[in-house]
Amino acid sequence: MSKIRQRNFTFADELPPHADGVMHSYIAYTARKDDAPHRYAGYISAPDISLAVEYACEHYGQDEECTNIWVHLVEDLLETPCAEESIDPDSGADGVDADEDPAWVVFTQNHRGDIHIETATLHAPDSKTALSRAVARHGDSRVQVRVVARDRIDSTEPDQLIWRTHDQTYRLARGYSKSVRTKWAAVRKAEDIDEYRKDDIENHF
Amino acid sequence: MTAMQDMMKDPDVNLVLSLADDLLMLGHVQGDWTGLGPILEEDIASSSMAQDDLSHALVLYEHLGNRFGLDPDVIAYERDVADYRCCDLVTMPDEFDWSVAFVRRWMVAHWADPVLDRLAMGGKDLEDRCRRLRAEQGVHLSYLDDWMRRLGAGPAEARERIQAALDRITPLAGMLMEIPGRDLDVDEDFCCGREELFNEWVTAMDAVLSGAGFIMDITLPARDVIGGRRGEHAEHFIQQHAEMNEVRCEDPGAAW
Repeated sequence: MSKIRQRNFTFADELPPHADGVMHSYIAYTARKDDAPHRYAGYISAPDISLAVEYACEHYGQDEECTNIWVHLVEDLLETPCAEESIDPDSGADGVDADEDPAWVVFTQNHRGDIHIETATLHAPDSKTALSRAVARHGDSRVQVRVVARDRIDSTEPDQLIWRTHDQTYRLARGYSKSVRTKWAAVRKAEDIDEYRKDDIENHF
Repeated sequence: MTAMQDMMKDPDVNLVLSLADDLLMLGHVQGDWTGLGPILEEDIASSSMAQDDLSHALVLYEHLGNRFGLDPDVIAYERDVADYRCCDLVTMPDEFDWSVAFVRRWMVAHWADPVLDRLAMGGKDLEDRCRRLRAEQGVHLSYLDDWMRRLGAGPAEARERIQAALDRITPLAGMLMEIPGRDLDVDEDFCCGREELFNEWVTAMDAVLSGAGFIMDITLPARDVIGGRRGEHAEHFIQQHAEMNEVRCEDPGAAW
């Protein structure tokens, strides 16, 4: 924080008050290219879904190049338990999709720890049926399947600018890059740098 | 004469430097809010946009650097205080009042929009750069406009705090329109019409404010009122400038 501003700043009196109102938890997904599947990005806390989309743009939309963002309420998600190895597709029941039924987006996870990726869209009358069909169709070799009603997902506008086009390298962590090491090597012993690097990585990761 | 002196004597440079310096200092000042935003996601969003402002300044300094054979970092950090063309609004202490910080960002974003339009008429290189910056500043503008409308529709405390911030900042904000050069007749030309720019700026802001239920009474300062754009900076700018340059002064050429 600015040292100049510290002079006139008393934390007890001047910190902004907590935001009032109800905050909701949302899940955000990013698509790296047009027509590319949406990939789980993370959680967003926001008072409503349109602001959640805006926050997601500034938060996850700047982590890597992306062209579209999806956001939905956490509670709009229905998912299978995470399997140890793989879901048994026979634990689901397939059926015939009717176009007049709501659309559901299917997200799947290949291995524990992997991110969930948009896999398909299907039509079903309700969430349980949708999940059951998703398991039957896409459960094989996956550890988890999720469904979300398409109309519960809000997204960025087509062609909306999310990822900035200017040089972004300044935003991204580049600790211990060659240039940093060269800089440090000018003022510190090599063994001190190695020791600091070791401690720092241990502390942070 | 040095390349820096050449650059500072060129009236074409004034408006470019005005915007670049505004964005540099605003990004620097807004960065103070990182970790202190009212809610986590707002903190992240405002920090992201502050980083944008810094890099937008860099894009403009690169243009000048290419033209005058100067390192953009030298332009950003190694000018005399009097050679900075920023309006002192951008370094005015907000005393960690989010409403003041927000209204300032909103006003500067509205100012940057038509200025980038005008700068884009300054040749191919500048046109390419300004087109990109305008799109990205447009993201900020859309975001801030959205928030202004939300706050206008919000509880009484939100409306009162934003109106109070508008009342506090408005008398200073007109100085964004200060002609950034010593020769008023020559330099006003390079601003492509100060009154026209002022009217465009105010009209765009009024459109948002009237929908949000806020009032702003802003006037165009007389053209001979001198402020930051002509190098007469307030003490808070001088302090911020010194702090911003601290690392640069201790370790010229520092990189990470």
